[in-house]
Amino acid sequence: MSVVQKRLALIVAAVLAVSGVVGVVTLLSAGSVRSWIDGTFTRVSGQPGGRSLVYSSTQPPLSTADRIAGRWRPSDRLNEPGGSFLRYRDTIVAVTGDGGRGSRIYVDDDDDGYARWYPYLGGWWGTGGGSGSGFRGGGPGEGK
Amino acid sequence: MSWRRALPALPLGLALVLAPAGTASAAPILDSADATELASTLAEASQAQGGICYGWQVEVTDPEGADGSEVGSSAGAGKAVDTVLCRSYVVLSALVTYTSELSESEDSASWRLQTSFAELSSGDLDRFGNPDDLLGDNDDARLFDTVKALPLLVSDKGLAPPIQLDASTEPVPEAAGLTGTPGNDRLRAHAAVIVLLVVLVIAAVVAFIVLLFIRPRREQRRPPPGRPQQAQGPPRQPPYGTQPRGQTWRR
Repeated sequence: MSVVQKRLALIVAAVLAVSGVVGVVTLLSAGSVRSWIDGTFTRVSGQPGGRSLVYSSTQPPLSTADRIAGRWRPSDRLNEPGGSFLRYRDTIVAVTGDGGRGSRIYVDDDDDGYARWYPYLGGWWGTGGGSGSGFRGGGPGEGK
Repeated sequence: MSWRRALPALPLGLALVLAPAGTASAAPILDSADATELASTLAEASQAQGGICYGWQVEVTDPEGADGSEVGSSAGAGKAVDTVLCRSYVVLSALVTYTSELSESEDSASWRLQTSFAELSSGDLDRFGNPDDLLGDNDDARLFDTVKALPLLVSDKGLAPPIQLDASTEPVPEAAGLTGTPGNDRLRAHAAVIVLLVVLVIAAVVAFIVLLFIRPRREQRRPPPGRPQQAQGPPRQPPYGTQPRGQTWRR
């Protein structure tokens, strides 16, 4: 390998290494399920950055929840006849019917979301009894 | 899910659905309280969606444990969907097979939908995960969750109006609180790309080290072109008596 070829290979390796590191750092620091929902669906109530926001979707609940979960994979998901719950690090997303063919998306911080949807989530994702308290399983699949 | 996978559950499913409502012989996955709660949830959904009947039926084969079957529906726990009374119905039919430790076969699970709606198929169940989730410790939670999602699936296809979740109006008990740590959302969302980038970085660093340190050392050891290669090992002594005069060999 000539000196020129060697220098070129070193430059390419260095560029690839730096690009990879920059890519990983960017992916681990940019975006969130909240910001993605805010940019994808129509906000109905709440202010950006607020703890609780509501959005609307023209798709039915299951398709809307699948779309969100497909883009931002949740740590855990619970289904009910009336909708789906998606759990993230500090956010709980609930998707339910809007009275027509579309759906409403409730985006809450984790504690507010647990309180709002406690009749459904209680015992599944936390303590305090609730519908899931009798089950052996439940809870996020990661980090337990 | 492939049709081949669902095929073994077909005879059982037909037998259970077409049979008149009755009581199951055993409850291998859900305990009675959970089955009652599930049936109650399905009954509410059925009422909200104009009388669509929902149900589940599971057959568990386990040579070393509790074989058995269980059924339940919006008509109650232990009661199969009555297809004579119900013009519209959706039933999850699952077959769970555990094998002996001595057997070479692996444990397996399959599920399928039995429904009066032409718009629904067993493939729609893929949206709720893998039937293999019915094996293991979380089998009850997985079954419970998937059956509860049947009304959601029906409304998604436009066959019935979506039901609305009711937010809690009661204060949450003091002892109630979230448990578990869900992990990094971004890592979960971009896992495949991040793994690819990390592999790329590692490969680039290895290439860098090889080019900068390892190859130069090897090249230094190599003799320059046009010069005879030196013999390896210590210099050989000339045979006794051939030593030139005036030279002594050191040992």
